[in-house]
Amino acid sequence: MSEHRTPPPVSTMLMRGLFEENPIFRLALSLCPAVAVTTSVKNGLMLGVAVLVVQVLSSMSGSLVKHIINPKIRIPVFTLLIAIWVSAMDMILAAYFADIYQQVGLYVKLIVAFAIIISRMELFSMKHSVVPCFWDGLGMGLGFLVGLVLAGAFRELLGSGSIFGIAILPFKPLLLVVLPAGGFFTIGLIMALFNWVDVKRGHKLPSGGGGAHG
Amino acid sequence: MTCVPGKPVVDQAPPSGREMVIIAAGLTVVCLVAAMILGGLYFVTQPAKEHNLHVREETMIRGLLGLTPQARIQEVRRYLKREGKDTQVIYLTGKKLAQLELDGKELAALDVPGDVTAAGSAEAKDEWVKKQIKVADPEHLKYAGRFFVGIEGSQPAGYVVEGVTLGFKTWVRFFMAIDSSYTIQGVEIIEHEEDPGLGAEIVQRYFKNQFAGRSLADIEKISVIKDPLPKDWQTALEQLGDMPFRPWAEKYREMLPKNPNIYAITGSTISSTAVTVGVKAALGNFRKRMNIVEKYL
Amino acid sequence: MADAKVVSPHEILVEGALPADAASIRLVRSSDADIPLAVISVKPGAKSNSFLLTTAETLNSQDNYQLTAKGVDQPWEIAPSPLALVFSVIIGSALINNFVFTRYLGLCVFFGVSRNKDTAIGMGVTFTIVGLLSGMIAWALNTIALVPLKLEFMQIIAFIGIVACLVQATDLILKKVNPILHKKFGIYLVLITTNCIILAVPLLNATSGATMLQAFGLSLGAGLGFALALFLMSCAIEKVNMAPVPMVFKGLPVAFIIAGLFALSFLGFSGLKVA
Repeated sequence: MSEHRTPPPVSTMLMRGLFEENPIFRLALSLCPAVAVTTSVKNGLMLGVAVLVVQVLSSMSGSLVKHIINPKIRIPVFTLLIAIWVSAMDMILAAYFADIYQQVGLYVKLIVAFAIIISRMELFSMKHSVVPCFWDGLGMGLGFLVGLVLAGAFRELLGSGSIFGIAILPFKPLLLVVLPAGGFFTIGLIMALFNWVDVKRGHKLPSGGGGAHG
Repeated sequence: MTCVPGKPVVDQAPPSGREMVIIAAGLTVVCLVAAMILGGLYFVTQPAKEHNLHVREETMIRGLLGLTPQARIQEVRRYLKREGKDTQVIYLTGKKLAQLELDGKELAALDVPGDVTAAGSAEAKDEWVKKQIKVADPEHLKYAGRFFVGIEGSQPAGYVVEGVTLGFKTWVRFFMAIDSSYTIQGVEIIEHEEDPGLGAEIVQRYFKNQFAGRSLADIEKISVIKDPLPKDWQTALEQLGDMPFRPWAEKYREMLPKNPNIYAITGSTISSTAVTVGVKAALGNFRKRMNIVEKYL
Repeated sequence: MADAKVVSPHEILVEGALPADAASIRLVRSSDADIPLAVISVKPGAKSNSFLLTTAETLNSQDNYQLTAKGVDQPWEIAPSPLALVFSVIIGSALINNFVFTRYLGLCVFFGVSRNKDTAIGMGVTFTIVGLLSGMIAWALNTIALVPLKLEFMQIIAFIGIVACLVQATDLILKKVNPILHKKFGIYLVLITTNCIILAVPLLNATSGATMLQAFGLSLGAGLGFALALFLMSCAIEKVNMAPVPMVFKGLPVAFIIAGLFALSFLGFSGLKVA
């Protein structure tokens, strides 16, 4: 159980999270923040960075402690590790980034319940040493970050006619996408886009459509 | 189900007594270590958080009142003491801690030590007040609201009142800047949870600046209308913030009487009305309170 | 104790001995107890020993007021009835601010188990019960221990611990006490731990400093709202599964579009007010 497998090359570990196993659009994991905080690029970026940091730290610390914990309490210990990093992240963001924290605060706290983090610990950290865990966590976190920023940019541009709060268009093309309901439409459309790209590249769609169905 | 972390729970042999003790001890140790790490971090981040909040509020107040960098900002906190039928109001200003009857009759007034006046955190001030005012039950003395005085030299240069109002979803907290003749100089939304694209537009200049330049009499009879916002008025509203209040009010003096009411945000009449009602109440209450508290500032 | 309540936006019905002259009456909003509200008139009410106060200002039946009168020792406390308060919080969290459609929480589980009606109902029922229990336990722990000891920074860890323990305990107890029920609902119990609503409820209660009744209302409302959302969604998905959907939209993408439509229609609840 504690034997390390040979890790895949760094580039694979990084790219996997970005496209093939993109946590939001392919694995359909941790969808709540994808819909909730992406009303602007800034919010998406902030939560994305928070998830990235928590993912990397959790994966690495999970890998460090896997030899010394009893397998029977693996899940509680992993949850606890995530909760520590999330609490730390929460305190730091609340102290130094108060204005954005006001808008995404609840979702920062809820990172602790994001399935993507614990599932990476289970699937990857248990079998690999610290350094590959760093790359894998970074890949997955980046995939998440890119997903959030993409959705955020799409919604902010169409809904508010701006990017990063800077007005780009003189009008608001589609107010709907920034409304509460718009998040669902946006994510649905981007998922379909990912599928479409896959079809064009000649891949077969996984059964059930948008990746593993929750 | 990809949402389930790990494998579904399988029936395992129950752990032996010894194993159970080890597991429990292990988990306890992990929890203790976690608590210590987080506690340490809390001690570092908490003061930083309070400091940053304080700086943020001060910057906002300076901006609203257009204060010079030399100006001082003094917080005035209001508390309510309720014991049975008896209610008293207590003001903590820069100089005095005044304990008053509801009609303003003074019961006691203490001088405030300098370190309390200068304290950045609200908690430190509340602690001190709780020590001075004797109550049977700590629940009987409650913080009830606050405002700020901008002091230029030794003269008050304006006031910023904090108000809350029930918005479309939850509470909307705002700062309202006024001069000594109770004319609004600007409104700033500090906290809200309105919907993005709809109620959240209350933070935009074209809405919040509609209150600027209005006197107490204007505000008392103001109402919210659903007409579209005139283009020239919107352009004028967008200016306030880039330019300070006084030149702005001078430049667009004749626009205000032409637009005597608040234009609601499209699709968010409830949020628009909530802010208007909040501003109205905050201004009216502040005028009444000012009659009493002025001599303690 | 004499009774008083807000009966309309400008009227208060008072029971008890009240001097019938507006000048000797003082009516205040409890949060602004230093600012008296103007009382225009005092008229005898329909019942004997009851009075109808008319005020200039608009009153809110959800607010707290205090009424004192010269020569009367006891003040009248005017507060919304606890039942009305709980009811309004439940309606608020189940419909107006539905956790799935307007706060976007619990989406993983939502999209996972909404594919047929039976699982949707099973999950909804289980979640409502466990959510209510964990919400109340977390509220108690927070109010009794964390806040007085200034340990708020441990909230996340404490709440996730409570949820995990509660789910495990319910699972064990149910297995021993009622194996048939366990067979039916056990699978959903495991899923609950990954539903962020169950963690969001105690966190929201903690930030808003909710009273016990409010915490109860929010926990129950969140569960009911989630169950309602699941049920509606499962009905729609069962139909869509038989429809010709463009290939790239099959599965999750179309489910998201449907959820968006539901979210749009839930916007309609937002004007809802509980009288």
